[in-house]
Amino acid sequence: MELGPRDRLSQAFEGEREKGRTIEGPYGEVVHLDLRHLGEKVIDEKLPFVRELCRKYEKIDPVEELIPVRPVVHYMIGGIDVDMDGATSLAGLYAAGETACININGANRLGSNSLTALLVFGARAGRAAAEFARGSGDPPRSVLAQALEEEERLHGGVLGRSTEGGERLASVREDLLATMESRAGIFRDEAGLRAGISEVEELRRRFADVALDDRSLTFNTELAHGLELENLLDVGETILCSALERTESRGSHQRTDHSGRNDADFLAHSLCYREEDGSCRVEFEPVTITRWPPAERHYGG
Amino acid sequence: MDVVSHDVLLVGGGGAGLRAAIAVAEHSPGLRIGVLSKVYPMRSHTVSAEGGAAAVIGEDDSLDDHAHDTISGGDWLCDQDAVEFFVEEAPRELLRMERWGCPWSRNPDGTIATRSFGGMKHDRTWFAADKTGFHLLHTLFQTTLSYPPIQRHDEWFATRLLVEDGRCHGVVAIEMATGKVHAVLARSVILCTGGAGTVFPFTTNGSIKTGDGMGLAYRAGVPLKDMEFVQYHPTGLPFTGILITEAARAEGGWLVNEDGYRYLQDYDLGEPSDEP
Repeated sequence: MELGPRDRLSQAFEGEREKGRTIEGPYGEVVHLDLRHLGEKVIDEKLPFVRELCRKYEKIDPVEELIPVRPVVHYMIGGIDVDMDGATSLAGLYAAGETACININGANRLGSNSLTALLVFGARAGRAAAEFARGSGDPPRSVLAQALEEEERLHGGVLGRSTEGGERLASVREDLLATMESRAGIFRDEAGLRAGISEVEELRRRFADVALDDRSLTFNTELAHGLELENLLDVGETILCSALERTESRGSHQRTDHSGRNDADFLAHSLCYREEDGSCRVEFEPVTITRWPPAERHYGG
Repeated sequence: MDVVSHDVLLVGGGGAGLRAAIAVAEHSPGLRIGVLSKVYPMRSHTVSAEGGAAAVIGEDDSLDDHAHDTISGGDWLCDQDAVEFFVEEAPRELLRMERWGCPWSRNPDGTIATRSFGGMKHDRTWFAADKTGFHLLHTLFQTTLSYPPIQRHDEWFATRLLVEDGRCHGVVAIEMATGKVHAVLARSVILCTGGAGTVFPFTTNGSIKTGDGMGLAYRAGVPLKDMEFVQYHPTGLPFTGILITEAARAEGGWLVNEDGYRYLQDYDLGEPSDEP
């Protein structure tokens, strides 16, 4: 029961919250993880790090006390579209690990598959990229023009921007996170996702007005946070757009307005492309089935 | 502008990036390899993985069972050819890690210990206590040090892919210590920049996981796949989001509500039992 699918367990937490059976804590609603019956010996032998984390960050001892827990975002199943060699649609560009999506995790990843997967597919991508490098020439010097353009953007455009009346990095980031939690969290619906997409569009406009206080060149962490936020805005928008187009519920993607799995239309991967104007276009391509025809979802049984 | 050249460039120095770098070095000893990361490699998020790594090893287990668990647990959205390759390679890779120095936990008789994990029919999760990712990353890192062609650029932040004539030729990166912008040229580039959990407020992910590679690829016209699937982990600490590993439930831990009631039984998730 406790080892049921992560998505289903997280959904059950939402159910308990709705019924008012969760516990109000200083940082919102929680349930409890009870390890007390395992005893000190088992906890110290098998779960020493859990005890250490609880003592350090919650000031509690799981040998004697209940651990407050809540669902938290853990893993991006989606990512850069690659084949088994890690190759993307752009020649010479490969990806592996959590940033890539082949997809071996489907709609819900099983815990402990991804550490192995980053080794298996990291190694395979490495071999494929090595093959590619051996069979191709050195980069043309003409690409350096793009590099100079980028240097100008970073040094002149981003660091040189006026701070007057400027938008704050932290507030754009905070609002993006709030949008993602409320519009694309554990349960989703069309109205929420559409609202989320327009909120991110607005956040992009605000991001364009962000001014940095730190103009220094040495470990400018504010600049780094700005560059990261640029990436997060893209990621957030692609999550919302893909979730809007998948009008079914499957694994970790649950639509309250489209319950149940719909194999006729969605036994397929979503592919989210960036259009010229910066908007998203979502297409679907079929899943590869070899020996296991789609059936009811079983979980370790 | 400074120009640096490699044959193969890894962007990201976590588990995938370091494993890929070693694979390049073994496959083609003559190639010049660059590993560029916005953090020192040992700070990559692989280090945080607690529970373990799955691979078939038990006598009662089979590759088909591992494949079926993965596909069924993934609600049939897995590419089955990739899953078949994955389960077959998995034990080989984990044994290779052992030869490189990963201290897998043992049974009393000396065989590799495994624990059960959610959705796996058999015990097939190898672990190094509850610091599996830490040990894997250290093992990979020390192994990269034995390959001279692997050259690192620590704390360089890649901001753009260099693309011309439908090919990727490297990246532009800013060196955080100096603010200098470098052109890093390569014949092939592998993005291993990790996930993007920090796009949500409550996450187990470290603050460095900001979807950098996804953003770089997306803006260069490469599609992002299955982005609607975001995995929540049911047991994180509030506020910090620090993960309490699934192993805590695999060892027999219970989830209870405000009445001390094991509420999962109300959600079609089985009957309460003392066994995990």
